[in-house]
Amino acid sequence: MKFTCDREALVDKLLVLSRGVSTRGTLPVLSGILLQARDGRLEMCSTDLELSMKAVVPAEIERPGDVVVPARLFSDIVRNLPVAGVTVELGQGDEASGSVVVTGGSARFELNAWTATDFPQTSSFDLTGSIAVSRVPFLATLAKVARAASRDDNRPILTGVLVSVEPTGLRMVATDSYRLAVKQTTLSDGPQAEVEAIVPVKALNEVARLASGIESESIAVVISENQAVFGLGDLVIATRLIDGQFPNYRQLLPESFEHVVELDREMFLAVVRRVGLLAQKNAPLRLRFVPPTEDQPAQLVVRAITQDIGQARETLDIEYSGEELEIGFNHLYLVDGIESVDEEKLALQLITPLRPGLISGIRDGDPGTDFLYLIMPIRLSG
Amino acid sequence: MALECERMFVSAQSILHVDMDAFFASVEQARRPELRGRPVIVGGPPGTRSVVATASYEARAFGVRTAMPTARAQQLCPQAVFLRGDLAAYAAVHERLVGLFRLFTDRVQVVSIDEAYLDVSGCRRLFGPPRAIACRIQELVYDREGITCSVGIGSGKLLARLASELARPAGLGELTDADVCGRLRELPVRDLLGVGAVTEARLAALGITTVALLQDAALPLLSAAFGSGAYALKQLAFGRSLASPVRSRRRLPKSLGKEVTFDEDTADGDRLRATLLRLVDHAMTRLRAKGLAARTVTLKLRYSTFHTITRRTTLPHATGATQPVYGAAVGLLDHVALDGRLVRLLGVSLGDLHARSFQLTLDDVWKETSLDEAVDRIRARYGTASIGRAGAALVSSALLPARREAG
Repeated sequence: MKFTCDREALVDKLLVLSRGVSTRGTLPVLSGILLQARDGRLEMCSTDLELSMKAVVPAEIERPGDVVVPARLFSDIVRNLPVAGVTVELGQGDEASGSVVVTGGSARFELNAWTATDFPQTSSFDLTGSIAVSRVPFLATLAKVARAASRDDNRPILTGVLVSVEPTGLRMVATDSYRLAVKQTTLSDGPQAEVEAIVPVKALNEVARLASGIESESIAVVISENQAVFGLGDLVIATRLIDGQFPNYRQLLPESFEHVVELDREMFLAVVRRVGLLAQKNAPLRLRFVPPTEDQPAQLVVRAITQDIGQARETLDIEYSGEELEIGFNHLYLVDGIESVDEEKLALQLITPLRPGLISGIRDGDPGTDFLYLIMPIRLSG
Repeated sequence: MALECERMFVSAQSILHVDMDAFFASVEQARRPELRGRPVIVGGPPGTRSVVATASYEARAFGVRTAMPTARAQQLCPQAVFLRGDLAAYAAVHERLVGLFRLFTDRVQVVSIDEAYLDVSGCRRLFGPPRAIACRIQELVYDREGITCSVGIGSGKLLARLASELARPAGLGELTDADVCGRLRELPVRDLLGVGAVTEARLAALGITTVALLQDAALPLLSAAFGSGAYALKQLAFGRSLASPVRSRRRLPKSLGKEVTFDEDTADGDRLRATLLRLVDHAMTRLRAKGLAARTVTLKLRYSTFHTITRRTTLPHATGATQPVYGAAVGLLDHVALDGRLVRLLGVSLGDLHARSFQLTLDDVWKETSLDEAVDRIRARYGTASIGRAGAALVSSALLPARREAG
């Protein structure tokens, strides 16, 4: 194998792929990047066995071939070469001996490498039959739910986002069992296909990160039985899907609520952030809804107490006519929910202090249904 | 000068010690008029190895004392009415009493189900002098619950407690600083809060049997026997305690655990897991009873060689639910390679405790919480052994003698 390519183009893609390598695993070859030189181009792959990425760089192929180079070192070398042209060559004669020579100008590096057959091919990166999903709505939808997905590997199913693509639109659902986010986006040019899968949030976050920089207006998506493939221009990301039954979110949404409180998004967010400073160590943020009296309007009193640290309190005037109610929430979950609302006004709907609350934006005077953020309270100690 | 200031500071305090007279027995007599005036003994049935929890004053006249085997109590007072006791009812009365105390001051330190300290130093302008408050409390307790209490007034917890001790039953006593050099001197050292049987015996070995002798004892003499504790001991004799003032808010405990030493060392994984479930289950009930939630779970394992290991994990959230904690504990146990080694002791400890404001979840844990609550209610009423998890039943009580459990 021998090829020459542009240093900047190579560095660019190496940076992307380096994020996908696995350095902690038991398979050392996973800390490498597979180089495949053929047909006038260089294809590079990385994988941690769950998430795989492929990037293509134009190259002048002198001799086709494959090899796996250590990702970190190879990237550092290429980045530091003195000239724009990079030549990579696998020791001639004995292709299996695994020694790669990288040259640029008069600089010459010789690196131990792995043979390509050691590299697990987890995906074919095949985009045949893909459906095109508009990029901007896809990313916007994902941004609303991604934070609600679980990071706790003890319940793998919750580390995924339920993604449904239909001709009319796109829906994503995520929950870590403490809160649940549902975002429904209408697509004017929806794909003529219907697919649904539980995609690891880690892969989706990677897709979002890389897709924000591409020129194409759409993302190519293929969902097969056990993996999802996303085409982002000259980058392809493949991920295994999460097997199992995603919680039935429709069942978790209460049929009706006792109280609907309208709040100014910015103001409420600022109060929750401020008072939340004293809700450390999982201490709850206490929201007390007080009906109006003769001398004062209805109020929302937000309080937080952290044992041995201190306490905070702030009051907001609200419209509220129900009975006095105090409910506790994790302030970080609350912030995530409020931030995901686009509208200026939001509705916080409640039943009792031990039942879930629902946050949604207010559109045309009514709580919207395209984004729903269900949040479980913290039981207060009294 | 420093001592003078300290005394002024201490004198400014007015502490009440409210002690319910024969609490359990009194509650029974209050709700069952036919028992009034009769000797009532609350405890296990006389045929068993149980002891007296409370004896009414009528029974005490026969020599019946708390913690005496009920069999012995029956010998002393065969005509007594023996009752099993209704903890839920006593706890309800206790709750109401504490609520009543809080009408006077928010600085209420509940010592046990039948006694509490009240710091009424700042209440003089609202409710009058301490003596008036004490009388009012006695009246209210009798009016509302039909039972009597003894109240002691002092410039510190120790004097207040001693004063109530001297005043019972149904009395009102006060120990002033003047009494420290008077009445207090007559008392045996054992009457001092903080002097138990061991200290009493060690003092007796020095020839010190009364408070007067302790007050007059030379510090070096005490130091020889008690080391650094000598100063504190001598302060006790003057009614001054180095212990904290009335604590209205209980500090959170650092951890809470339960462990068991097996009758016979074991390497049986099923048995270890079942035992672990039992330990977690009971620890969690205690945790919830204290209104707490835990975030870390520590497993303790002692091999027959006495080599002891601990393994710890942190949960995503503090929880009061049994299931996730058991799941974490079993996870720790499964990661320990026993390699056929015999286990002598198994323990679980819950740490990073928080006040019971725990995050509810959308799914099974929510159902689990309701289950846990139901179990706690049943245990509060019928006792810990009345209900348990089926998995834990794999280990019969006979295999796990309750006496060897360290709680």
